[in-house]
Amino acid sequence: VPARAALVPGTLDLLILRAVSLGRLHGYGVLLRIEQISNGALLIEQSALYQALYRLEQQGLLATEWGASDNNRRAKFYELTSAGRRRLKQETTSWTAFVRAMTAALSTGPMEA
Amino acid sequence: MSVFARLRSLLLAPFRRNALSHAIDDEFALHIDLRTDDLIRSGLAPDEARRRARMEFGNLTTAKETARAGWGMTWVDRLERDFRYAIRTLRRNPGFTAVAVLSLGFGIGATTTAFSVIDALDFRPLPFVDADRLVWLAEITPPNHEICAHCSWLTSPPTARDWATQATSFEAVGAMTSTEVSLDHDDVTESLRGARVTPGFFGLLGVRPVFGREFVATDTAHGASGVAIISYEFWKTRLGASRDVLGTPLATGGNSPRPIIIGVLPEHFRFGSDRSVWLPLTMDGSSRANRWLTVVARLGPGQTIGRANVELKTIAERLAAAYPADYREWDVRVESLRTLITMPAGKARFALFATTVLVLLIAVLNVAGLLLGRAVARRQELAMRSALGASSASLLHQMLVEGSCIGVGGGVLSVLLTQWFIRFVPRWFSVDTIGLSVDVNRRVFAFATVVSIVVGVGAAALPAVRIAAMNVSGTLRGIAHTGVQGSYISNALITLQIALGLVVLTTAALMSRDFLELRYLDLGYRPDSLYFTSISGVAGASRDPATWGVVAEEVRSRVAVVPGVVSVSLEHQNAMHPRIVRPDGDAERRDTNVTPVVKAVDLNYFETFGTRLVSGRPFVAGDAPGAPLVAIINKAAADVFWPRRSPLGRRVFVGDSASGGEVLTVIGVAANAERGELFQRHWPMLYIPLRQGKIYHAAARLYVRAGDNPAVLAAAERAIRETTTRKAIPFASDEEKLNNGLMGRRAAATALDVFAAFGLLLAAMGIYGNVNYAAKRRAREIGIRMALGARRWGVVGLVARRGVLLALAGSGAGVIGAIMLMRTFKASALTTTVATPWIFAGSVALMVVVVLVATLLPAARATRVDVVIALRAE
Repeated sequence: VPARAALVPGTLDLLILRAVSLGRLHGYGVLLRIEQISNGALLIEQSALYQALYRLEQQGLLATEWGASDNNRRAKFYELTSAGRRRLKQETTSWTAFVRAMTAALSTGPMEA
Repeated sequence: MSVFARLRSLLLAPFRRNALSHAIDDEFALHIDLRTDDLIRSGLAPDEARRRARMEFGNLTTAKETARAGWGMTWVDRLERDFRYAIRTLRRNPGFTAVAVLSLGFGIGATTTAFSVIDALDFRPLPFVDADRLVWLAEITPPNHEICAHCSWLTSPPTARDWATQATSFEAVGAMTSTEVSLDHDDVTESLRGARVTPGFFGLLGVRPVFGREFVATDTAHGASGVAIISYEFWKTRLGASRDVLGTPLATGGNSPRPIIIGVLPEHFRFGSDRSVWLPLTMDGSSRANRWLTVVARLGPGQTIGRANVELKTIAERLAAAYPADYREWDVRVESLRTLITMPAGKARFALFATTVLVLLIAVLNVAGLLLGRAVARRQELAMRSALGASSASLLHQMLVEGSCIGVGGGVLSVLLTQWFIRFVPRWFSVDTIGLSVDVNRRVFAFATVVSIVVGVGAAALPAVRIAAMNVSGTLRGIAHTGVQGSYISNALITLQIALGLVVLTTAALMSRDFLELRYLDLGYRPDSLYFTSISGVAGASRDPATWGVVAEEVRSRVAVVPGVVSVSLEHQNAMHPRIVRPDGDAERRDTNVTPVVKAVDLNYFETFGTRLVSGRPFVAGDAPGAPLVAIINKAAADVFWPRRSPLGRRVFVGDSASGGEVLTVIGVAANAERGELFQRHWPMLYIPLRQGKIYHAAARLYVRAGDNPAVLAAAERAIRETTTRKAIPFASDEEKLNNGLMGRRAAATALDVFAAFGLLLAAMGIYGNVNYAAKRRAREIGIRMALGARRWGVVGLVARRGVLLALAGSGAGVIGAIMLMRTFKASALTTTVATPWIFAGSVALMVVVVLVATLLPAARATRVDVVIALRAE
């Protein structure tokens, strides 16, 4: 099992938006999807996941709907709203810019210490 | 999600709490189940898979709590927590809590009581069918009217007839006038309040007799036998609640034929006041200037007061063109019936309300001052909480919740107090004149609730804002305890308290003074140990005026010799019922709008009453039949007839028509006498000698001035019984009657005094607390000054100067406020004509004393304290 990286604060929302942008999911599905798209490299706390889901729903970025899961159980499905889609685009752009800047900063010159 | 939708979801959160909770359970259960399935698929045994899934998920309850936080529903939990915290804090400080709750409770209770009166008179629907369509058709007095300019007034029968026949806005028009009915029962004759109303009057109001019928047109036809309708209460208490009373005669006193009872009105029906007997009224009478009818109408379907007003004005203009002398400068107005009903209460209820609001404000300022003081005392604790992560918003929230707890506590107390206060209300205001009762109904309760929360939060707002602006690190390090901002706030608070206290004090003092003046200083006669009895029927069945005159004189002389009787006098009210009373030879002069009341009195009438003659002479034995006709008028009549000129020797015409009357010579002017109702004080009066007047059997009274010995009155009653065949009529105290008439004003003034005294006490307490606290805060400063070598008296003077300045600033604002308030209510009970500088001066002095004591005590103590201790304090 590869060592899992803890999440940088504030990135969980972005990951969830990304995961849900690929199609509607229930809570457990979101977890699986994030593990899948991050190649299992990120460690996600379940309670934090749900808190983030509810918060995003509250902010109007996610829409919810009750439906049946694969095994025919009552499940709550999350879906991106158009506001959520916009937010995802914004956050992705700024995150990419941030990462690029950080990478550039960290790879310049000789490393000390 | 729109702002609205978010707000809605937030507000609905507490109600959805359970549903959401279940949803979270479902979601989590599904999560664990799916994970278990996945683990089983990856090769784990089912039990082990479930255990692993659970472990991975962590503590379900914690997870739920955390998840919920994302949902924005915790404000309910937070509120609950804040309330618990507030109640704990309040319970820990019982003294503070008791003072705060008591202050607010009394303030809110007084305000709610005053509001309940306004509610009963101004908000509650009148107890009639479709009461909003009932209106009062009033003539409006001209600007030069002697009694009241531009006031809604009564109407004359011809005018009322014209309105009824010409106006199309009304479904029905009726008229009413007050009357007194004397009634024989057992061994006494008593006088009852009653009214005469036109046929159909009760139907117009939507009131039907509980049994029997109401007046119809034939009841007022010429030659019809007299009929009467009685009130439910009269029927029950006096006639034994028997249905057999219908068709029986009502035992009216005097010699008029006894009317047959034809109906009994519903219980609690009131119109104008407690009236027992209702008689039919005909709208005949030809004088348009003789206004004595109250006209009530019901608007037709779809009609409005505005449209009816326009129509009535058109009719009035037509009438004014046809009879210019009768309507010169008179106007008309359609008023809601409520205006008529609330008129006797005057504006006193608003004055009382304004005063109670001031008292409440004082209470709020006190509590704000207390909370502020406590907040500053608690600032270490609050700063600590803030440093530990409590946001200033949550501290603010916490303070406001504490404030509303105090407010609600005060509110609960106030409802109890209101229940008690309200019992006195009927004595203050004539709310029962229309069958309305004052009680704590839903509207009054809602008022108390809203006021409680508003004042609670309001009281907490000031200290809360102060705390929110607190410098946390400074406070924790023990500095910043005497901020400039803090002293501004407490200075403003103290100034405001002084100002409000002063307004309450002066208003109350002036109002009671107004009453006292009326009651004791200038009645125009002496009501003490003056008694009266009706002698209307002393001549038995005889309707001959001469016979009555002889018997009455006999009664008078017999009573006069009863030992202990100081003076006896006969008074015959409205002896002539004249339609015209005006200066003789002045037939064109019609600009006096009030007809003087004419009374026939005997020689020592003014002596018996203790009424001063302003000029001229009293009646003498020579003023007999055959001698020149003479009259004495009161000051009011003199002012109306011959302003700024001496009326002595002038002639006055008294009669029913321009030709049919007599000309009298004015021989004296009597002082105006207050006779129980404010209104009558300046009413023009004309007195004629009994022996020169025409005598009817109407209201005749025997007045006796005697000591307070009941035996004297009993002897006088015996003398009357021995002289006549009449049953005994007990004497009544004129002073009592006067008091009853003034009771409303006196009690309202008392209520105001009680509320004001409490307001003043609250203000003094609050001022003392705040000033004292501010002075204590300067202990450290004083310590430094003393350490630097300042003299004790120099320091005390410094502190005192500031106190006096504060007191004067507050007093200045208060005096201006009081004057403004008095202006507002000038037309009501607050008709203070005399400037009362001593009340203002006394109030200001009181405030200065309170402030000085509160400042100097702690300052003097501070100068005596060891400098080192003072500096180390806090």
